Amino acid sequence: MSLVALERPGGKQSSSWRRSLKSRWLAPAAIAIALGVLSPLLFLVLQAFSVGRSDLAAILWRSLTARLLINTVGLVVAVSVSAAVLGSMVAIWLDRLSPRMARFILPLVVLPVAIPDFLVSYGWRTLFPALHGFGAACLVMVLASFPLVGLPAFAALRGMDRSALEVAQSLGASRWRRGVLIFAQIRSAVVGGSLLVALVVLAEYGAFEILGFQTFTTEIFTQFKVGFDATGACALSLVVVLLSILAVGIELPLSGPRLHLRGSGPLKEGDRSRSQVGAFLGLGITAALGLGVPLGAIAYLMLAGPPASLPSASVFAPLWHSASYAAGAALIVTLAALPVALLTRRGSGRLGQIVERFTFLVMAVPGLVVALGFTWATQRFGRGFGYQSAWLLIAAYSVIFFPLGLVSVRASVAQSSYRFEELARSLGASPSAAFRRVTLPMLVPGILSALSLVFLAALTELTATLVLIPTGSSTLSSEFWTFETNASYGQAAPFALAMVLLGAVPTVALSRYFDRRPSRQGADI
Amino acid sequence: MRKCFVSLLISGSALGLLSGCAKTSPSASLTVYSGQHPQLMAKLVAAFEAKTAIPVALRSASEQVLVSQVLAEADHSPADVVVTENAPAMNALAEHHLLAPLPAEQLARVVKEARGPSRQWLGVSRRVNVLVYDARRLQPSQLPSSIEDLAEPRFKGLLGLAPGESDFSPVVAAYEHVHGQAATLTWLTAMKANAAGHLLPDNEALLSQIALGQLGLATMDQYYWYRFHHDTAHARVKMAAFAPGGTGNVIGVSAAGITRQAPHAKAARAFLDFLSSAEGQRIVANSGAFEYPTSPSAPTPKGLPPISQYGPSSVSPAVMGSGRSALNLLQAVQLL
Repeated sequence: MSLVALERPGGKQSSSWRRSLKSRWLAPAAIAIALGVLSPLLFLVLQAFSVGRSDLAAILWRSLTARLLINTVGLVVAVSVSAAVLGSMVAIWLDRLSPRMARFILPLVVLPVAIPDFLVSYGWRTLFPALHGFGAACLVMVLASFPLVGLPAFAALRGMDRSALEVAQSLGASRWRRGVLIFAQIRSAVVGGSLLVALVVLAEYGAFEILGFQTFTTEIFTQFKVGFDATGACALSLVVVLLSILAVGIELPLSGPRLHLRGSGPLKEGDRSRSQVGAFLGLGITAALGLGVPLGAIAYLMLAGPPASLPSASVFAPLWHSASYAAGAALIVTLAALPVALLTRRGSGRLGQIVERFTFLVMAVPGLVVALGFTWATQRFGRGFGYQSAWLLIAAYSVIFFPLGLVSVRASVAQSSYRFEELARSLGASPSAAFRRVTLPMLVPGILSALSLVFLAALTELTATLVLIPTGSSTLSSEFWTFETNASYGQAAPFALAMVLLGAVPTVALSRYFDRRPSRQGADI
Repeated sequence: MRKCFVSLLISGSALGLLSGCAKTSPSASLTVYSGQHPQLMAKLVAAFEAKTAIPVALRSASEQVLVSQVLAEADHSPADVVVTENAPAMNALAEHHLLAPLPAEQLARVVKEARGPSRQWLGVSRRVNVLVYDARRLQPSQLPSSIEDLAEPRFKGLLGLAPGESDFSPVVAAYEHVHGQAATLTWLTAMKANAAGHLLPDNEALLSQIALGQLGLATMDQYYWYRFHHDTAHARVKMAAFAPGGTGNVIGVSAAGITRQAPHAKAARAFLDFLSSAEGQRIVANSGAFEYPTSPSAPTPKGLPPISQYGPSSVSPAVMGSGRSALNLLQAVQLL
C-alpha cells in the first residue's frame, strides 16, 4: 500500500505541530543562529560606509566594474548550471551502481571538494600552460565544486521513497515521467547545491588569480594587496553580497513547492533497470578530470619538483591541527544547522525559508573579510580576548561554512514529514521520543553529509586561517601556501597530498554508510 | 552497527574540537609578524633566540594580510614587531600611527635609503629591480636599456607583467616620482598593450613562463632570478641590469618596525637591535636569500656583485608612500 502526498508549505496539517513543545524554541534558536552566522556582514557594512561617497564612487564607477560584473555574473551562471547538471548526473549514475560499487566510487567523485581550488587550477595550468580566461575558470570551478550538488543529491536519492516509482512503473509511466519523479525528489538538493556553487564562485580567489581571470573577488584582494585598503575591499564585497542576494532570490522560487513521495519505505535497490556501462563511463571520466588531474600535478611536483631553498617541514603537526579544527567546525555547523533546517520543514511557513536563505549570504563574503571582521570584533568588544585562539578559528570556519552544512541537512529534512511524528505522538509517544525515534533517523544521511562536507571545506580554507590561526601552529593549507608562494612546489606537494588523504577519511566512511543504509532503514522506523 | 558508526563519527569530531582548543599558543616573549620570505626570517629568528634566550613566536603571512590584520587589531594587536617584504606596507602602518619611533642610533646603522621617512622603520635587507629575459628569444643587444623602453612596441607579445605583485608598485611609484602622473599613465598603458595576454599573478609565475618559452622578458627584483636559478638552473632564463642610475633600478627594502602598543616593547627593541647589528646583517648576507644587507659595513653576499654595480636609482623608499598612488595609477589604466 503506497501513499503519495503532495504537500505545500503552510498547509493545513501544520496547525497541530505549531502548538507542540518544539515550536517554542525552534524559531528563536534558528533566528539566533542565523544572526550569528550573518554577523560578519555587520563588519562589512560598517567598513564600507566609512569610505566617503566620492571614494566609493571612484572605486565602483569604472569601466572595469562593468567588465567585472560581466565576468562575475557570466561565470556564476555558467558554473552553477554546469555543476548542477554534472552533480545530478553523478548522483544518478552512483545510484544506478550496486551498493558495493557505489561505496568504492563515491569517494572518487566527492574528493574534488577536498582539493583546494588553487591546486586544481595549478594542476590544469601545469598540464596546459596556455590555459586561461573564462573557459579555464569555468572548467576548474565546475570540477572543483560539482560534489556540492552531487553529494546532497545522492543523499536525497538514497533517502528517497521508491514505492511511488514502483507505482508509476506499474501504471506504465514512461522513462521520462519516472525521471521527472526522481528529479522532483532531488530538486531541493540540486537547487540548494547549485546555489552553494554560485556563492563559492562569487567568493573564489586563488584559482582565478592563477588562471588570470578577474572577478569582483580578485579585485577585492587587489585592494588589500596593493593599497592595504580594507574599506575599499569591503565596499566591493558589498557588491558581491548584493549579487548573492540576487542568486538567493532566484533560487527561492526554483526550490518550492515540492512534490514529496511517502509510502511503505524505500526499495532495497536503486534503479538498476538500465545499463550500468554509461554510469561507469560517466563516473570514470568525472573522477579522472576532477581528481586525476590535480593528483597528477601533485605527483609530478613531488617527483620532478626542483630542490628548493626552504628546509622541509613535518606533515604531522599540521595534519593534526587541520583535522581537529575542521572536525570542530563540522560538529558545530551540523548542530547549529539542525534547528534552522527543521524550521524549513514543510508546514512551517515562509519564515524558515527566509531565515535559511539569509544565512547563505555569508558564503559570498571572502574568508579574509570574515576573518578581519572577527579580528575587529574581538579587539573592539573583547579587548582582544580569545584572539588567535583555536576557538576563534573554529568559530570563523563554522560561520564561513555554515551554508554547506545547512544545505546537506536540509536535503534530508525536505524528505522527512511531520506526519510521521504526529502519527507517533497520536500513538502515545512523547514529543521528544517522537522526534528522536522518528524524525532524527530520517535526518541521519543529511547530518553525515553535513559533517563530511564542512570537514572537507574547512580543511582547505586558507585566507581566514592565515589571520586567525594560533601563532606557532600551522595547518596543511597554511604550510602548503608557505611553500607554494615561495616556489618550493616539491615541498608543498606532501601537504596537498595529506589534505586529500585526510579528506578521504570522512568520504570513505560516508560511502560505507550509504552502502549499508538501504537494508536497514526499514527496521528503524 | 549503524548507531555505533554515527556515534563514533560524532564523538570523533567532539574529540577533535576539544583537543584543538586545548592547545593554546605558546607563551612567547616576542611576537613577530613577518611578510618576509621564510628562508631569511627563520634564520634571523633562530640566531636571535640563541643569542638572547628570548623565545620568539613567528607568524608568517603575506604582507597585505598582515598589514590589514594589524590595522584591524589596532590597540589590542599581539604583534610586537612587523617585518614586511617592501617599504609601502610599512608606510601604510606608519600613516595610521600604528608604529613607534625608533632610536636614532638604530637607524644610523643602516644606509640612508633604508630608513623610514618618519623614523618608524628600518631596512633589514634590500634588492634591486632588474630585467629577466629568455636568452633564446632575445639577444643582449635587443634588450631595453631602461625601464622606460619596456613601453616600446617592439616588445609587444614579449613582455610579461605581474601588476599585483608587491614589488611592482614601488617601481610605479618611482616612475611617477621621476616623470609625473601623466607620463606614468602613458607608460603603463603602452606596457599593458605589450603585455596583453601575459598578465600574471606574481614574479614566480613570470619566471616559470619565461622558462617555458611563453614570455620574452619581465622586470622584477634580482633575488627572484637568483632563487629561481638556484632551484632550477634554467639556462635560457637570464638576468640583465638596466643602464646605471635609471628610473627602473629601484631599490626595494624589506623593513621592520615596532608596533605602537607592543606588549613586549623591550624585547622588540632588542630584536630590531639584532636585525641591524653586525651579526644580524652578516646573517642576511650569508643567508643564501640573495638579498643585500642594509648595513654599509656588512659584507656583500657571496656570488652577488656589489649593489653599487647596478647603479641604483636615487628614488628613496620614503617617496613611495603606502602604495596608494601606485594603486590608483594601476587601476586607472585597468591593470588592476
